[in-house]
Amino acid sequence: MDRSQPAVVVEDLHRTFGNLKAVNGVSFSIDHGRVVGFVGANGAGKTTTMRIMATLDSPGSGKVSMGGHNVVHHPAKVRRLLGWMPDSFGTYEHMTVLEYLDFYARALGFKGADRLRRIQEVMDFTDLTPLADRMSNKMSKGQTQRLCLGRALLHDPQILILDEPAAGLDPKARVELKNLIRILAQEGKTILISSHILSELGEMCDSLLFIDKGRIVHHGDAESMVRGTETAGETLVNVQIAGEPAKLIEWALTAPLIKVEEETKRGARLRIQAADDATLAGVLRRMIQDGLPVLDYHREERRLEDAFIDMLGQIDKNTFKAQQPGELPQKNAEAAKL
Amino acid sequence: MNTTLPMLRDFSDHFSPIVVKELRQGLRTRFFTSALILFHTFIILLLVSVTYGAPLEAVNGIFWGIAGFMLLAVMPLRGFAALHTEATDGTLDMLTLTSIASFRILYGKWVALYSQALLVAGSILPYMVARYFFGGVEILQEVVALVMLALGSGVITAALLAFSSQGPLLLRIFLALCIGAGAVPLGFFTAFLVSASQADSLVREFFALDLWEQCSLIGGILALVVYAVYYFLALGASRIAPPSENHSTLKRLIALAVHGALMVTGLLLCFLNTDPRVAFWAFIPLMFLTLIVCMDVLTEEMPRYPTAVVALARRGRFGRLAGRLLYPGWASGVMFSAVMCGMALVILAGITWKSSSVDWDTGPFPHFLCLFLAVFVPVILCINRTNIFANWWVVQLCSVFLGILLSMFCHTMNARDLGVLGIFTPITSLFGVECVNYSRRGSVMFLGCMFSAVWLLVAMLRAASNFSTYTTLEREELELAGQEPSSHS
Ligand SMILES: Nc1ncnc2c1ncn2[C@@H]1O[C@H](COP(=O)(O)OP(=O)(O)OP(=O)(O)O)[C@@H](O)[C@H]1O
Ligand SMILES: [Mg+2]
Repeated sequence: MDRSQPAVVVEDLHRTFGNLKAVNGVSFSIDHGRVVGFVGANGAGKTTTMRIMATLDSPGSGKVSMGGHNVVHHPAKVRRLLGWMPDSFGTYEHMTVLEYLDFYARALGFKGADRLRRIQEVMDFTDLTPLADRMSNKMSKGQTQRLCLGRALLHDPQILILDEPAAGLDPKARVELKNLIRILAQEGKTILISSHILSELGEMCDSLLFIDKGRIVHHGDAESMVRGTETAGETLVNVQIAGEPAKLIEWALTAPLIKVEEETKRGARLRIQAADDATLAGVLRRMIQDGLPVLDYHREERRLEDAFIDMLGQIDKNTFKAQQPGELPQKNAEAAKL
Repeated sequence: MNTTLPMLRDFSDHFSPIVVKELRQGLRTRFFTSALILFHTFIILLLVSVTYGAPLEAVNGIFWGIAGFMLLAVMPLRGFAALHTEATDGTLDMLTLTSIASFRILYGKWVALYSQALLVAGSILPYMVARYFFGGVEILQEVVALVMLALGSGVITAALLAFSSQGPLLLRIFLALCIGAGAVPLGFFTAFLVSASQADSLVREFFALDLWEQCSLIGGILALVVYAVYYFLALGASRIAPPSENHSTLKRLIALAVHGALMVTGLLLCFLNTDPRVAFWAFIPLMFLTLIVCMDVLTEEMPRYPTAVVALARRGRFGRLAGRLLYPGWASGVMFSAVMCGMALVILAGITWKSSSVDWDTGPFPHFLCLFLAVFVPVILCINRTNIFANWWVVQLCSVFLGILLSMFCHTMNARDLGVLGIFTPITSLFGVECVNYSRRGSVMFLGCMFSAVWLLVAMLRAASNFSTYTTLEREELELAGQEPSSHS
């Protein structure tokens, strides 16, 4: 594989189902050895894009190449490079974990002792060895997920596509999965992970790819995303008071330059239209002067989730504007290097 | 090191992975063991009943009834949902990614299912010997009957597997019923063979043949069974394969070869025998195969990727011309079907031409012409837009339904001449002709054939207008070849 070229290149990808544009002009590229998160609401087009990358579906138009091979023209070459973990998968009935892996290892062309050795390696890595004799369709969600990851790793693929691997896992299983992915990343594999759990992706991934209604709406690392949607000259402050939070809300509604972002159990998150320390200190002083029993007052880092939702809101506004007569639709997806 | 790993040496590396998987799963299912136990219990009870004086005739009938049901229905029906389940579970995707060819997937499943059916067939043998000692049994005829059932079981399993790639349950049930209807003649033939007294003459006739005639008869039957199994598996494979692959050209070439051989056999039988009607033995299998092939190629999706035309696009002008017959997709399928139907009809034409007792206007020729032309109607009529395969069957079903309505109308109104209304579609003209008075049949049949030919003509025009798809793909393919001369060579 030529490592000077990106591992994954997607150019102006389109895919429609009937009248529905599931993927509508997606372009991005991923360099070798990068871990990229793929984020979007339900039905945004993540799975469709990933299936096309995995040669399981075909592009309506546009070009996808993996490791330098076009997915349509050389699917067999792409499949050799690729490990795929789908969002929902059935395991086979009447088949033990060991037999399951043995079957796929046979299918991938491993023979004799070589096959046993590879299965053993994968089972050790995914900690499946104690479950070798368990029926593969009678395991917990987390165990099934590990089995599926193990299967995807059998042929030691260079590129991994994981569709919502953390969905439905408990916190412990999630941490374990995260560790496995971290090790794989250290081994230099290129990984694309889709997920809804943004905070976790932020930690794991080198960069994030946001998709909405079949279009890429943001690409870059998590911080740039948070900063990008921040409105200049505004600060989010989390305030807790002793007693009824209603008092604080009442106060905030009458105070100048302050908006209530969200009510919390013991107070509220306030959006203050100022960013300098003096003004923020002034707001706290006024609260105390007005008799509010303030227990906690701190500037809040914006969460990835908020940034994402803000961004979707901005896009909706933009598309609305773009639909005004005389204006062309705004193209918000451009090729990006991740 | 885990101690359980060496245990998996149970299957050698020579077996196809799919066969290993299917056998591991299949032999572990409760279905297989319980069906086998139930079957044997029943047969033992049956044999015990003979010692209590049950009539031998009836016992023979029940014995073969159960054996036939087991081999032709119960065992093959395990393939009924095989591919559909893999598709909905997402496991088919995983198989695709291992680069196991689609045909290998079907073949592996078929081998696993069929070897279990053969296990059942083998377990019948001891009972046959036991019954031989009770008397009243012609062991040779029974063995032939068992072999027939076993061969039939293989074809039916392949057909059910192929159709299991279809999503809609109703469609699959309907197709299974069609296969069942196709198996009825085999059932009758088996029954005929094992009712010892009648089949006696048939067996004697067979042994009166020369050795080479016996061999070619047996070889011919085996070759047809192998081809039928191959064709069904290839049909299923093309339905689950990724759209960028070409599963059609090879399949069509093999079909051309086999159908050509059958046509030549038919013509030889027709012109070398004193009674040309012997050629029906070649025509009847050819007719069934032709209908299946036409149904298949006329319901293929048009290819969307240049990779699907690679095989022929680079072979110059003749390659591209052959592509209009052999590329995947229904458009080339129309032309290919026309050739296939023509080959089958040649035998009938030969029989009609040579035989004095078979005439052109009311004999089998126009009837089968209409039957063959019926395969083209769904190319023009579109009832189900999303599923071209389902559409083909729905259109045929509707035509049969209209035909039955027409017959009922003519008979209840006692207006037999109204049967002429059926001439507008091939199937309804077949029903209509049966209604009209005998003296008018020839002319009504003629009209029916004429109108049916119009359907073919329109289908061909529609196909020709879709050839532009192939032209585009050929151009893309040649551009691609220019860009990367080293790949596919
Ligand atoms: N095979 C299909 N046939 C018809 N529509 C489809 C098909 N596959 C996906 N879609 C539609 O395409 C859109 C995108 O689906 P996709 O599965 O890619 O979304 P997603 O981002 O993966 O969503 P989720 O987070 O729910 O998994 C959806 O509106 C979906 O209904
Ligand atoms: Mg999804």
